Amino acid sequence: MLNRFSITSQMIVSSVITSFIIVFLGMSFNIWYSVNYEKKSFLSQSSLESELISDMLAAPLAFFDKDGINENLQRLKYHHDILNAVVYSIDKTLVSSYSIKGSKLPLKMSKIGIGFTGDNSWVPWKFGILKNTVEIKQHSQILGYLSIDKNTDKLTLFIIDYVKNSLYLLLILIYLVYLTSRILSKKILQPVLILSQTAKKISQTKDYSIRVSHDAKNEITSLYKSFNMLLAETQDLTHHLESRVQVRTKELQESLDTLKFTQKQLLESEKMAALGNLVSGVAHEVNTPLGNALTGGSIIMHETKILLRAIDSGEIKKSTMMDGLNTLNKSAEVLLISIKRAADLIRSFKRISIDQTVEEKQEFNLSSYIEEVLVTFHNKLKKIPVEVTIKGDKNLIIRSYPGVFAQIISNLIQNSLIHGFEGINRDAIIVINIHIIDDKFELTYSDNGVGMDKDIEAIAFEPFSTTKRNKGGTGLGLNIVYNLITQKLGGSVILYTNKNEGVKYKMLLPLNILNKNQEEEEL
Amino acid sequence: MINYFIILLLLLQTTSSFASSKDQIKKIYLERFVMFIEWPYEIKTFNMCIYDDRKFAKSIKKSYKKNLFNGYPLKVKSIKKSDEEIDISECHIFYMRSTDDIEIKNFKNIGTLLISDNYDDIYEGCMISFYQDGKKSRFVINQKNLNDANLKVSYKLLDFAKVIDPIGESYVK
Repeated sequence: MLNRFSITSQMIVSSVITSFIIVFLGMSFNIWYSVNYEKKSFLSQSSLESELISDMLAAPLAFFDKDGINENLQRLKYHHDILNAVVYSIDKTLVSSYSIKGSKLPLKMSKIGIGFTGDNSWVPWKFGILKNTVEIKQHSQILGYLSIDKNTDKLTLFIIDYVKNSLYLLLILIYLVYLTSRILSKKILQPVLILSQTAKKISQTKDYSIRVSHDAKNEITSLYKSFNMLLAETQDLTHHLESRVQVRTKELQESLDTLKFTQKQLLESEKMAALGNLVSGVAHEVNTPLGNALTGGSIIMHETKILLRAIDSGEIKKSTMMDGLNTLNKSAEVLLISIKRAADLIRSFKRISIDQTVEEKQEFNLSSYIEEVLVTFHNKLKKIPVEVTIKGDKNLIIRSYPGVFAQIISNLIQNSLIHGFEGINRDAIIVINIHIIDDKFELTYSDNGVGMDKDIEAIAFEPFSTTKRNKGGTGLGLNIVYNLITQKLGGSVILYTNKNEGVKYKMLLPLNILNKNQEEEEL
Repeated sequence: MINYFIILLLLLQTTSSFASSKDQIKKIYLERFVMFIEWPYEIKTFNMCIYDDRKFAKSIKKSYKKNLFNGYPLKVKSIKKSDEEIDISECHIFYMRSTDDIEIKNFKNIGTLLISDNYDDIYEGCMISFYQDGKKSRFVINQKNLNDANLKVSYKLLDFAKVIDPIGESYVK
């Protein structure tokens, strides 16, 4: 709560509260001590008074002089606080008594001793009546008893007055403490306040050339010195900050350039590796139709030689001629089909390889393009075997970078083949789904392979994270996919996977993807 | 005790004409004097000498035959007028019922309390003298005489009784 006040107020309040507690405790103890002392004093005085009266009553009682007893009792009228006094004989029968007007005499003698009737009262300054009964005796011989009831108003008034005066004193002391702490706190805290005001001024004006000074030789001097040193350092730092920022920026720019260059190199390496894979696929895929074409060509050549030899001998029959021509025709058909297949394959490979090297936007049918990419993996997919299905909007034509999509799909298929379906003993399935959502489209790639555990999933898109480093894995595949989707295509990708439950990449991409560099150039 | 006290009060106030009653009171008074006066030496048996009243001496002797006299065993000695030589050196109290034929000044002795029934004897060397105040028997004390006999009297008694030749003015009544 004190934090809301100024430091000066806090100091004043602290001093006042501390002083109040100390003075209050001291005063309470003093009141308690004084009250007890006064009470004991009152008791002692009353006891002595009773003893003196009893002494004066001893002789009249001894000589059975009732007048003498009464005369002595009548002297009590000068003792204004004595309410009544009763003299009893040795067998505790009333002999004579004295009482002021309105005071009732006790019905029987109270027991010997002294005490307040109001000792058990909850009001500490109410004592009731002081009852004192003493023996009237000469030497050790008891002659009778004297019982005195005394008013305690005098004691009560003293205590009330004492407490009242103590409270007045307490208030005066607290007021004096308040005044003193106000003066002292202003004087003591002045250097701190000056420091605070200076700091505020510096923060507003940003003028670090300001300095504070203090003539005393204490902790404040040290504080001021440190503050001035801090200001000097700040001034120096501020002065050199701009040049240092420029140096640091340059260093950072260089680091960034190096990083970009390295990244580009890595991407190029990965692209080259992909192209290598493509070439190897092309060789393998084209090998079969070319083999067939070669067989067809050999047959044609063989049949042609047979026919020519028969024609030269002049012994050729029409049926032989027809059989030969049929064989030639069938072989030519096989040859043509095989050549056409090889030509188709080469066209696809050519397009994909060009797309991967040329970064230009084109309008293309996404589903068909993916199918062409799949062709390059025909052999590898067939080996496991993997059943690939493309679902969803197969007529979707987008204007984008086909090579990027080829790279994305190729990397995902490579991952499925190398990691997902390794050692799998069930039917391997890959499903690619295309689905339009407003001005975007969702491209989902999923397999039913071994999936990833949580540790791998957490770092799947990070560069160089691979479980096949010993088998040639670079750990860049998914990182390239992530960068292509988020940076090149301006989309997002989320990976869903569980151990032994396959993987699912959900990519959300804009329908009309603009090249950022082109945009800037157009502007 | 209270009954005794009441009887005595009645006696004091109403039957002062009866000598026997007066003697009874004086008998008690003598015991009370001993209560308020301190002798200069330790007393084991209290010796009381009665001059010129054998009957009273006998009465006292009878009264304290079985009872203690203010805590002491009491020995009563009766002294006759006819006795040629009166020795009071052994008497702690010398109570003179009549003093017509004796010179009190001659009886001055350390540690002997001289008591007389004649008021004027207080000026002749007596220490306590009884007198009649109306119907009441009262007594007067000569503090100087008591002091001369090395007898210390309690301030309580001095405050109560009439005092002649006080030592110090505080006890003047």
